[in-house]
Amino acid sequence: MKAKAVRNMMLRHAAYSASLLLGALLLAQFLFESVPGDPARRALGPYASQESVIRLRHEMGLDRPLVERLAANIRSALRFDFGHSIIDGRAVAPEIGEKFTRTFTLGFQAVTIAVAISLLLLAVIHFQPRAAFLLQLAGAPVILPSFLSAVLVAIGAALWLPAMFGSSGSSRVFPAPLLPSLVAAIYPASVLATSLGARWSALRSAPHYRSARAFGLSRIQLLFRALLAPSAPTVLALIVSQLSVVVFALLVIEIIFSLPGAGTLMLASIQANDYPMLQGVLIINAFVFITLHFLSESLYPILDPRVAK
Amino acid sequence: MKKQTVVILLGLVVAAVVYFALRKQPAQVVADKSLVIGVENDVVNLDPLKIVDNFTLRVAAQVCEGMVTLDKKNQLAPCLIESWSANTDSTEWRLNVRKGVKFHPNACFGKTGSREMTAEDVAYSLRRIVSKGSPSAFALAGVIEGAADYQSGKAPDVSGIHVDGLSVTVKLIKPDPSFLYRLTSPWFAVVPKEAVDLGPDVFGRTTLIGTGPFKLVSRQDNEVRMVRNPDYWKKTAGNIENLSFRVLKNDAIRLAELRGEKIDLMRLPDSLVNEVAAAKPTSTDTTIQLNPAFGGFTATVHPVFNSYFLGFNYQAVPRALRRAVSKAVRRAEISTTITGGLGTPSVGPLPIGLRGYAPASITEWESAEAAKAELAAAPDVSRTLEILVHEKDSSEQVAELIQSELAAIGITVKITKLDFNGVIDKVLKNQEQCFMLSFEYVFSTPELILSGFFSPEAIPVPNLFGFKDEHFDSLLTELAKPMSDGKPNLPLIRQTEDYLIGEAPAVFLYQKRSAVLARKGITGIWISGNNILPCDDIVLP
Repeated sequence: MKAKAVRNMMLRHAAYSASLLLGALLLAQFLFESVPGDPARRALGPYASQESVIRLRHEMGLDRPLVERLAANIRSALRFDFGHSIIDGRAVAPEIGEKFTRTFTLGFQAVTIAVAISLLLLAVIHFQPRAAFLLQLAGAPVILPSFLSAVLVAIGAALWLPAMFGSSGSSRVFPAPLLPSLVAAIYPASVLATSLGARWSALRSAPHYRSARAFGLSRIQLLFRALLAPSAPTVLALIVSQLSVVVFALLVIEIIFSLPGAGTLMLASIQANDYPMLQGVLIINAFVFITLHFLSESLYPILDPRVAK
Repeated sequence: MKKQTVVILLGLVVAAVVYFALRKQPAQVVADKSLVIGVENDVVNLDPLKIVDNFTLRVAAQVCEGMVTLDKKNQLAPCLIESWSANTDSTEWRLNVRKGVKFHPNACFGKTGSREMTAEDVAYSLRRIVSKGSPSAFALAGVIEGAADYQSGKAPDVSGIHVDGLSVTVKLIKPDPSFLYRLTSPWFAVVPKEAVDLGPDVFGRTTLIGTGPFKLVSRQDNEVRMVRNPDYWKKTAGNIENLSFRVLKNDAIRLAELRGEKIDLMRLPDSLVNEVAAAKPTSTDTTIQLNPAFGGFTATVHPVFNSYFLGFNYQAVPRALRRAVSKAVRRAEISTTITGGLGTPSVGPLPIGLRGYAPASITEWESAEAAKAELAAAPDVSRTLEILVHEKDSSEQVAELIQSELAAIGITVKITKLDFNGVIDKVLKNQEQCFMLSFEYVFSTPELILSGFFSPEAIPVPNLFGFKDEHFDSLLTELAKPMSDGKPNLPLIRQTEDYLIGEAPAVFLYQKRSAVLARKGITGIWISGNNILPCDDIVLP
């Protein structure tokens, strides 16, 4: 019965996600159609001859009916085949794959840092309850927008830190550049620390915690058995949901740190009017966010079947 | 602190130390004589044919070279073509290829690893420039015999290009004594077919083969690394062994990287002039006096070929109104306010530094009284104008300055902001009155700029004004005739530019110079009129 409830909920979420994806595809097409001006002219620039513009219009399929173009675009998107860049002819799919891999590596590093920071903070206050005031401070960084903290950190690093921490992240010590991931980690670290801190405060007055202490469990055993183990499902779901927050923040942070990734690719495609590339980035972006949303929504019923009821 | 806390913290420290110690360090390209240049845009593709912005061209120009180039006085100089000759009416050019020039080594050349550049390579590169989809085709497609047919796919080859041993013969559609001045930009580079055949995902992306002073080591969107080419054909004064371009898009961050000694050199954008300069540079300064905080740096200023202007829809805006606007605006004030002193006010489109060009006098043209007189002589002409502005070149700010100056002579200006492409779109559809824009010239001679941008053949692009005038065309025809001594006909150029200023298809405002901010002790920095900084001339201390 429980398994059936979970399966139904998963199916509902999958259907919802698929409809969101279709909406994203339609939105991308709508945006493409509604931008004033000739996309071919925009791509080739003001000095291209009219013959070149007409030729590119044909190559882009802009002289075909809207419905036909929409169907072709949906077919291409489902096959993850977005054609070639109209600016320099490179294949769109591998380029997007490479850039999103970089963004995700950065994102995972940021989330790992966030988890490490929040667990470290939790350990500190667990072993040193007088440091509980740190929990109050943990919520403060949320008010600092990523674009501002990114600029401040980049300038500070450029002026005072060794070159390996350089603002463009040329350091190869970590899988992804450290400073941008630190900036991206600020918000999720804050959210995770606040959440874990609240659980810690509640736990200290819980009867099972006092019983465990009475049975002589050490502080470190209490930390793992009484606090972290029961919190794992919530924390895991929180991490997945924060990943989409991090990826979104990285779209801006990458531009400020001049890192090649999904954000910079999107900006460059907009600036260059590279429509196949832009369309690919938008669709994959939507796909990524919808997938993350689906994962985070689905994790709860899997980890805690009561939610599925 | 409790024992467990100490244990956890110590464990974390030990794990971090072990991680750092065991991790393999990257191979170091950087050696003693290394120069790192901070640049403002992503370097996405280095294939000269695919480049559509000057930022990327400045990087690619260190690897690839053109047939001819510009020297420090912006005069035509041989490069991969060592000499040339033309028939009497300049319709047939014989280009003699430099001997002993080798392409950078690459596996695409097979077992030999590299090979010498030949006349076939020059012919191939010329054909490539006029090929379908080439953004630089406009420079040659209407000039070389058969190029237009080749571009449109009607002909399998360009009938006007022939290889003859070590020479390439190029036949033109009509006389063009300035033909080689069309090709001075490294945009028109000579590249080997074997490398281009590697495909668009390789050539320009991971591989770039040229003949230039530096070889490409790696390209990422945000960093390009090069090393000196030991087989470079030209003896140069510079001593750089490793050259890197690091992309730092944010101006403030780029400046901080320079101050923090992470980069050695950068272009100085307008937005930072006030921050670094002790006093605004004047239009004749060649260096910028820096404030004490930048004592470890030097800043130099270099004229480059461009023009910033307010363009008119020539057919839609009456002559009297165009002339009145052109006479009423105060170029010096606009230039200083917008460029922080990097601009040079200019009443005409021809850039400073072109083959003996002396700028037209602003004081003789600008006059609020003369502007009022123009309007008074045309009482039926409307006194309202709409200026289209966009996100580039501080165009909105310039338009606001113009708006306030025109209000003083009774002209009401409405400013409409669109995105850059939106403005171009309206201009191409003739739906505008006025628009803010700039030209960065590829051509390096006055005759080519005047005919290339303002002749009726250049409508709709790049003659975005739709400017068409019989007398001006007759002047252009005269200009196209070769001089017996091969020198430019300066009086006729002056006459043609003056006529253009008088007809006012645009209000030419200023030309912007390029400034370079570098660590003290770095010498040999100069920028050609094409806005290229040749790094092989840079000497590190």
